[in-house]
Amino acid sequence: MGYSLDSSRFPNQQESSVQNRGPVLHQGVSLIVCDNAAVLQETLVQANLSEVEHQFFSDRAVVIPTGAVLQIVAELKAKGVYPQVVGGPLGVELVEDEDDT
Amino acid sequence: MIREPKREGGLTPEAFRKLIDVDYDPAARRVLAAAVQSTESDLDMITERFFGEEFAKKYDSLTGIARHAMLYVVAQDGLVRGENLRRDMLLDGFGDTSPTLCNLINEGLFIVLPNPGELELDVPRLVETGTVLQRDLAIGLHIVETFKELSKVVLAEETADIDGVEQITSSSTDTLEMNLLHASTKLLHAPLKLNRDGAPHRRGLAKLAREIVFPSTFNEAGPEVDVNKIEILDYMVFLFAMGCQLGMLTNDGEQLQGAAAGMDAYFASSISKRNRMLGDAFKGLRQWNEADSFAAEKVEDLGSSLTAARGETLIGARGYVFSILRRSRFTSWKLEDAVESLCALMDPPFLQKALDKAQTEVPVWVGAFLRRGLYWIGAVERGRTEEGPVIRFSKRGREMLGLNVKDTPAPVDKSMVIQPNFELMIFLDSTDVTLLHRIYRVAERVKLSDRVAVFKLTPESVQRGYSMGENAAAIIQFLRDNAAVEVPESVTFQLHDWERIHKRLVVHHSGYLVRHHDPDALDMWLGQVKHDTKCNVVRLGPSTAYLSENDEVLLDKLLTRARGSVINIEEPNGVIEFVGPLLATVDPLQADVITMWELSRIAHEVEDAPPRLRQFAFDVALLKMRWPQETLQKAVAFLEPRSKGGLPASQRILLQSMLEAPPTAAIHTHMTVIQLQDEFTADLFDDVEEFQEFVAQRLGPMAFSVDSSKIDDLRERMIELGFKL
Repeated sequence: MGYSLDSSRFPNQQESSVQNRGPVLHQGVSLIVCDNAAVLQETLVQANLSEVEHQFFSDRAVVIPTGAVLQIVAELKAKGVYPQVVGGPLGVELVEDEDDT
Repeated sequence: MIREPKREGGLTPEAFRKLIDVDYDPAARRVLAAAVQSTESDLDMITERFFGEEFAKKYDSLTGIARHAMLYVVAQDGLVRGENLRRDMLLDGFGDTSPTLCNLINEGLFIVLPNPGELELDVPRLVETGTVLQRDLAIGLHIVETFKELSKVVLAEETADIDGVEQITSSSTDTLEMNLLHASTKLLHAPLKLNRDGAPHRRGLAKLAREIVFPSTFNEAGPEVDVNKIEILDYMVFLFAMGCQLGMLTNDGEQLQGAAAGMDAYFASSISKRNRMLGDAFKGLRQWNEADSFAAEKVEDLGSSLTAARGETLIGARGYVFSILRRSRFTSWKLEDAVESLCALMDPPFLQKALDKAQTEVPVWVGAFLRRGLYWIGAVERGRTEEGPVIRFSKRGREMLGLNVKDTPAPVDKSMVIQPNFELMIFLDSTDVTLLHRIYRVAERVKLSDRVAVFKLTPESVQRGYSMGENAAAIIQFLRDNAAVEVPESVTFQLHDWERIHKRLVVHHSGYLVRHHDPDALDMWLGQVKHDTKCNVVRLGPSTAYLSENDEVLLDKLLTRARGSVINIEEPNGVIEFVGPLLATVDPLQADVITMWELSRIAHEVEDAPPRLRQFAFDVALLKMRWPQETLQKAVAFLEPRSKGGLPASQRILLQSMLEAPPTAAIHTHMTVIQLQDEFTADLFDDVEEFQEFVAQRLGPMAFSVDSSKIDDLRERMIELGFKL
């Protein structure tokens, strides 16, 4: 996968929930993002996302464990959906920045 | 190291005299002396007679193979390597000439020259041991001059190109590459299942086989193809084995799948490099055996397992015959029988040894190697004449052997026609497979006939190409560069539109989810990240963003400066804090994806949670639905590492009582506890028979509970035994 921050160097949640007000980085997660909520819903049904741990952050973005990405992409491709994959073994370089929301 | 000067031409009297004087041992001189009817010790006489008219008549009187051998040496200006002479005569259909050549040596007509550094040449012993042909053979210059013209005339007739060849070749390297490209592309997107024995699943095989161009045909096989036919199944297995050997297919024992990296490595290479790769792949072919293939009479005889290394035992023999053919350098048509003899007879013991493990005979394997293996990779072309079947190396075949390694330029003609209906017509005869490989990335082949392949750009094929790194602008440029006509407007518009659709769904494979309680602080921090690192920021909400791409070192610095924290999804933290019976709060910014996902499945969210926290009430029904088997154990396994300080015992008991049988307890009142001084005394106490009626239960190593109403009686008895109470 090729990325990892040494979490032991940073305070964990128990130590930091009150004092620490800095950013919290969650590692080992991948993002699926779509410009259309309905398309995302339809896509996720096709990818059998109900079987995979996931968390929605809006109606257009869902985060899943990185370990599940290849399976999700394979299922999508099997259904004829070819997402743009950024980074990782299947990935390509991102050609343009996503707009901030 | 001192190198000896290269030998040139036949022998002069001086060279001959020096040879027999310095290099020959007495036995060799004796043979020559006998041949020229001279005394062994008189070197001058031997030389004089060797170059005399009487002895020259012996050359003139030679007939048959011996005469041809002499003329071959004359044609080479009187000097030739023994093995090369034998090889060339094999190739020209004279069969194995070793005995004849040895006779000519024994009769003094062919003079054996020592190898560099060789002294005391014992020619009779070399003849006896069969190693004499591993040396140069020479004749006198006077013989060369005498027979020069004759040799030109005779050998011109003998070795002339065979006339009247009707070419029957249709199996070419181009077709093999097209098949490899098509099969690996198809299997890249839809792997082929293998049966338990490693043979390809017939239904999937049939689907693929209909689009393959088989040897002796020119068009794709079509729906009528029968994969139970021996030649069809065999070629498909050969094709898969070649694909695996070239790294464009992978085989995990359960399925056969295309490998994009291997395909790119092969199809992006120059023709010369591809030829070498093909030659090497064929020599090292493991999952296919040409001898079995050629000998099989029915499909049951044919091994079709792609997991069995049936061809491994042939690797040594293939390499050996490749080297023989490379050295023979023949370019014109030769009788198949002669080429077979060449391969089989150059070094029969070595070849048989190489084939021993394969349990096949030399003639059988050589025939299969030439007529099946080399033919199927397009290394040889086949034809027929009145004299019998003939064979020659194709241009690419010569390059596979390592000959003519000059790079063949790729075709420069524009071979593509693009139609407004998104079809691409490709004229294969003026197309390089590298170009086809690019087309395969974005288009589906819909038809192949008469050396014209028709591809179609479809939404799926183009988006699949986009997912492999293509983009609309690059594809349009590629089409413009290679099309003989203008790229239709409808095609360029649609390629851009499909790209827009493709980009609607983006999967960021590697990165970090960033969360912050303070949206303004998050803004500032993300601004620094954008400025200082190559991370790509996707904002997901006021307090959440995703950092795609990674620059760990800089990110680490920025996080340290901001006093941030890191949560690894694989190392759950104590984010769940119990605040009541099966009621817990969670800081959502600190909770990982798995924790939040599971909580949403096993608990109801409570609305009036403390600020910035979320509160969950665990539901027994949901827990049982989530983990129908071993509910308690799985719930504890989930909660234990995620609960602050571990799962509290009270919550653990509560879960047990609600998910399984409640723990039982008995409350005993009116009991008195007796504690002895040590375990030994307690054991003695336990063994006193008369105490049994007083003791209710032993409570531990040193204590017993006793009914309070009997305590006075027990005290009395204990005092009687001397206990100090």
